[in-house]
Amino acid sequence: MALIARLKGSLSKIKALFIRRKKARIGIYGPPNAGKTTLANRIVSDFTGETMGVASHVPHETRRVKKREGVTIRGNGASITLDVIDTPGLATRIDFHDFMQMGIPEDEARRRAKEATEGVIEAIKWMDNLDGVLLVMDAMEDPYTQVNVTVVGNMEARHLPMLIVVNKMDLDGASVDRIKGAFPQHTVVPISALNGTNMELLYETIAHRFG
Amino acid sequence: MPHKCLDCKNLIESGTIDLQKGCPVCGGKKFQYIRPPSQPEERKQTVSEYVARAALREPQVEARESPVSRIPGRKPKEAPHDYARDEKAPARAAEPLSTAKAKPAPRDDITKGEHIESIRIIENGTYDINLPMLLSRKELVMSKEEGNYMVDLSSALKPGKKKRKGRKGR
Repeated sequence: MALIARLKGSLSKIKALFIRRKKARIGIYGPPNAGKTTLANRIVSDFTGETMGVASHVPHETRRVKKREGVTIRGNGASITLDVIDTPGLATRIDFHDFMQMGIPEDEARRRAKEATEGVIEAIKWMDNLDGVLLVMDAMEDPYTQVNVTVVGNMEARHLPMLIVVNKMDLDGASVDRIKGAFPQHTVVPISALNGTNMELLYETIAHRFG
Repeated sequence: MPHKCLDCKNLIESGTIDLQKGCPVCGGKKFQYIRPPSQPEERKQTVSEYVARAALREPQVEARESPVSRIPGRKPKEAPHDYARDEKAPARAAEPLSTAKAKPAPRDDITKGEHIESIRIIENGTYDINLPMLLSRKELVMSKEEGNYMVDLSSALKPGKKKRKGRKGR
């Protein structure tokens, strides 16, 4: 069995050298407030002029999976057509009190917490339908969280191609090296989705990694 | 339950046998216990069948016979929630997105007070278990109160049984 698995792995690597994928469904995952929707908006607007969703400083602003199909991105000669899936933030604990502290009324906060919880589960279900994942992490935050470690481990177990996108690299106190050190086995691309910093490098890496 | 005298085959109701005198007809002292007729349908009912039946019952019957199980513990502060009424909403939300074209089911109904948690912690030692939710989806969601949820990521991240066709070929 192990020999067959190894042969399959070798064959798929050889195949990947000669056959480039032209279309891929890519999910944007990460903890709340890492900048997933901002990144999705940046990617889609750079190539189509449209946006996907509303980004906000309030966690769990995106509570439903959103999909934008047929976004062809180009970077350094390579290109790939993406179905971009923007997902709700992954979290292990969702408390309506956190929303109330941001000025949201209690009823609305409870409803938001419920929707956010359903959003986490919906986001995870979409993993079964993806060709690759952009895992967005906040350069200001400690990368050793349960969400990051669990998701990275799960992606590895699924053999799902993944890029770690370190967002907010331009802020004071941001540490890209801390995230590189936490996940040295993965390609890490630092960007600022809000300001568009380093996006060319990201597009090029996406085209090569998922193409 | 009745016993049968092994000598004269006379049937004697339980509790009426005087062992010193023996069978009132022949005086025999050997008796055979007669097992009551079994009810196979009732015995073979599984938890999922019970829940499915409970969901189909009339609302009045539902209110009287809730399928919610309660783990023994201290007396709860509040009445247990009848999850059977909420079964429709979570089942729809838990539909797997197994195909590429599958669109997520609308979730407008979750704003109307339905419960999404698998286990509700009422207090230490007292839990409400949402059996329909536990049986219909693999993710464990725990709740202390409405609006305060904990998601067990490791259970949620277990891949679905059906892998997407064509991933390797694309």
